[in-house]
Amino acid sequence: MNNTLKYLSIQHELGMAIGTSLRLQPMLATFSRIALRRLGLTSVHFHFLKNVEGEPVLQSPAAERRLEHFLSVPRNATAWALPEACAVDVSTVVCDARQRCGQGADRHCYSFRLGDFGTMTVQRIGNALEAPVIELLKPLMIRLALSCQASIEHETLLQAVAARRKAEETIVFQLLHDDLTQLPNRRQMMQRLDAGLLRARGEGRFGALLFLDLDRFKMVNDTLGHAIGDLLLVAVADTLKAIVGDDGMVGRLSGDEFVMLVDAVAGDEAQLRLRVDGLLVAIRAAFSDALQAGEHRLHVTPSIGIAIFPDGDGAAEHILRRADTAMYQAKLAGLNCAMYYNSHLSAGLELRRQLEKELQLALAAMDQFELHYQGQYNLAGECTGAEALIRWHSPYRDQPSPALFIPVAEETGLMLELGRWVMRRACADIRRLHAHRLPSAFRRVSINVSAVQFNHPDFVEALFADIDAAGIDAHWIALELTESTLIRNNHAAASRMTVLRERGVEIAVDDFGTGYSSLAYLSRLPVASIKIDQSFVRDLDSNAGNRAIVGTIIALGRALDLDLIAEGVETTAERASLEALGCHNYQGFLFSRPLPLDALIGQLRKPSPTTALAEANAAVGAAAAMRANPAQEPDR
Amino acid sequence: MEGRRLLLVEEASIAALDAAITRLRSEGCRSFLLLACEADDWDPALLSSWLESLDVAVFGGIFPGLVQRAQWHRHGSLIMGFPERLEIVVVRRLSDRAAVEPQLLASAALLEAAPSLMVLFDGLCPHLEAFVESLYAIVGGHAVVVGGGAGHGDLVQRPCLLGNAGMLEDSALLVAMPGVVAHGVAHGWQRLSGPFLVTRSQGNVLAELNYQPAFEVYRREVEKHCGETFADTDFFATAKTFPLAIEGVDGDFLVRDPIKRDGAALICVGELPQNATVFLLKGEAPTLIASAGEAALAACRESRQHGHAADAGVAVVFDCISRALFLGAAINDELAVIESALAGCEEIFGALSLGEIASSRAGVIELMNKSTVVALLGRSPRP
Repeated sequence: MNNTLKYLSIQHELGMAIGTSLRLQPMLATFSRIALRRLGLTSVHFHFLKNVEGEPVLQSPAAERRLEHFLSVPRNATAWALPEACAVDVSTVVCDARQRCGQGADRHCYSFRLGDFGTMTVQRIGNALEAPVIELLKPLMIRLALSCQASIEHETLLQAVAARRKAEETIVFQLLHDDLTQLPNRRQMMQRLDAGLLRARGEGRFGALLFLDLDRFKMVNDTLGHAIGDLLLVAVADTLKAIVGDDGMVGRLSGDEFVMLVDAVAGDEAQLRLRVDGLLVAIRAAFSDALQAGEHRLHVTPSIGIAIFPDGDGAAEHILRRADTAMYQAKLAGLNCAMYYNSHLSAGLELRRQLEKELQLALAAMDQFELHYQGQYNLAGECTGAEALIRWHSPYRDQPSPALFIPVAEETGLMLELGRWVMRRACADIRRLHAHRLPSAFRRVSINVSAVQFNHPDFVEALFADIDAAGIDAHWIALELTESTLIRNNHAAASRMTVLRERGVEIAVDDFGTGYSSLAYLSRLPVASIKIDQSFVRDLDSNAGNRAIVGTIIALGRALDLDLIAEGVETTAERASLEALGCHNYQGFLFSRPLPLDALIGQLRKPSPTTALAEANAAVGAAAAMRANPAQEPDR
Repeated sequence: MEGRRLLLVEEASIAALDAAITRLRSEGCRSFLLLACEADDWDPALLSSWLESLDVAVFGGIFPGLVQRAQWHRHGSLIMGFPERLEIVVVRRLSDRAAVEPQLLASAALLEAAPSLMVLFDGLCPHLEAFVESLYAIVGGHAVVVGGGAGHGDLVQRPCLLGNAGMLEDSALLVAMPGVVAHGVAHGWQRLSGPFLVTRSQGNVLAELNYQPAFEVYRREVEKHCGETFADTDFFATAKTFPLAIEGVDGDFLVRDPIKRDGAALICVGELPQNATVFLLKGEAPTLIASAGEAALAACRESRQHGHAADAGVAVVFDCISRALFLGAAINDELAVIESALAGCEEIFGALSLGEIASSRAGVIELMNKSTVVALLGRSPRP
């Protein structure tokens, strides 16, 4: 009777110790401590099936059904015998091992199955557990297994919830942060700037946005690779964060562009400028030392533009653009400079910066650009060729003139990409022209090439690749180079022209007469033709000065055996004057406006225009061009 | 004694303690176990200030009485100097289990590396079992643990532990002893009646036995055997002779001392888990005295198993104060039996404690009441 009560009380106390927590580890730790005391045990050990993350699971693939250690109490105890004896394919709870372990006759080890996913092993020094005690433990193990199962299922659920929460946090973080530097990204910076603007306006305070662009960062990427470039960007981010501390915020917009937001802390602008000037000193000091990027110590400097806000009712985008413009202005002033935004100085620059950004976007897809072709005619009125002229269908501006965006593209290096596209498209268009029956006099398409494009080491190779890809004859191409491009030629450029000429590509001098008009380069380089600039053609019939210049150019061309063509011919009087002076090739509205390829093809099929028709054409073309953009000078 | 020195300081003054420490330091001691008597009525502020000023490791406690060989002292202090610089871990907020575990985990490496631990604790702290369980769960069974509870005989909790942080309460001091400790534990209390099932309890508050108010069951059983009624005497005067005991799986007893009555509930030293089976025990002087001797002999046997001679060593005794209260003058006989069993030990000293602590044979650390713990301090490993 006495022992019966003892056994019942043991069973009851241990039973009450099961399921004291939903979490597996604390639940088993509590049970173990009570089991240790109540059963006079030395240690308790739990082994479970585990997943690859080491978390207990209820099932695992048959090949991996191996029990792994989960918990021991005391934590530093080691099991004398591992629970392999408990086969996991048996569905009932059994006490499998009651063994003497060879380490002393008074050491006992028992393993109990926990469902088909784990075991509990208990160890004892001294007397063996009585048989009734082992029996009373068996039903307890069923309960303990159920509790473990519930805990494992609960924890699996918790892990799934935690993983989902973490994924959500990651998404939110990624939405608002830059992947590389972990700094706030453009989106977050704009939100903060918006809030800062609102606060500044509400409290009558001033804040500032600093726009930082690293000088010559591209060189790092080009010479040391993007991996080092990325490390440098991270080092820059850390440096800027350390400088601004808790008094502001640093973000990365893209590439090597960072912003620093100095919140609206100052009561007046002078006070704010003091604060910003202090920051500029700190930035300059920090960047006077080289930064560690992997194994490299690199010296970089930032160009900084500063926009103070609020300034009128400008929105956050407006403030950012101003800071960007000021940065651009700082960069023009030299490296490692900082400049506050100044509306008077920056108006033109702002337009250029904006154009640059719009061009960058357009170049990403290229579907905003198109080539138009303006025909070139001989004395007999036959079309002998056409000049390819780029058109930009910008979603932000109404047909911007090439005179507006080409200089921006050239200054910013975007011309390389744009020129490459022009070349490729022109070759493809020539292929299409060939598919139609062209007039016998039609022999070339002229393509304008900028100096930066022509001087690129890969230019010739890329052009030949485009010619080959289109499957056309190189003789169909004439490259129009400006005088300034030719005058700056070096030995490499001269060899390049020779290679082009040998392949059949013609070299023409564009806008002749507006630059150096050096005889030396004309005689030295393999130039085939010169194009008389439209400014000399204007009012040729009534302007004696222009007539004299054109006469000289024509004489020069004849002397050097060069073809001549006059551009911008708009009236019959101009044409007659040119003819009288000895120029027999013309381009201008008198003959044809620049046309889309299909329209050009259509025009080439028609008979040559009469003089009267040509004059009417010129009048319509000029009027249309003026309507489209009165400020720009149309291609004539 | 290998550089260990014991001094009895009869004068209860800081100056006298300081002089004793100075003397022991001059003899090469670097750590000090300080056992003080509650009857000396130490000023906590003064004693704390002095302890904090010491630049040597000190640990100890205030006890109802001290033991030196076969004598027990109501006054005076005993200071044992150790030649080693002993590492002492202080565990605070002992009654808060959540606070105890992190502290133990933080010092786990030190505690696990020690071959033995002397544990002095606030004997009137509630939830001592939780502390003991945590200690075992974290430190494990590799280290032999011995120790006793400090405190005051009026059973009112107040600062009673002595350390370099001053006087502490609700705390424990864990001292990593450099050598292996051999120990023996016994109580000598015998089964009187039972078993009873603990049907309602909370920590050390025993509310119901066999679904009846615990005090009623206890009173009925005690009065049946002793012929006195609780109405005639104060509670503890009778209860000290009739402790309760939790029955272990092997039929062994873990004594639990009922010290107060709270309405229908009994307040015990140590927890009585719900669903445990308990027995009512009775004490007889000869049995208790003999058991104390057995504890000392068991320590000697264990020491010999470790390969040490039991003589020429130091024995520390933690003998429960309630044994002294029960035995009265016969406590001197108990101490004499212990001394006799430890014949040849150069020093035998210790304290009359409020609860005792020791590793069981299985390794688990147990919190005991009304028991005797005899520890033979092993020699330090030779360098």
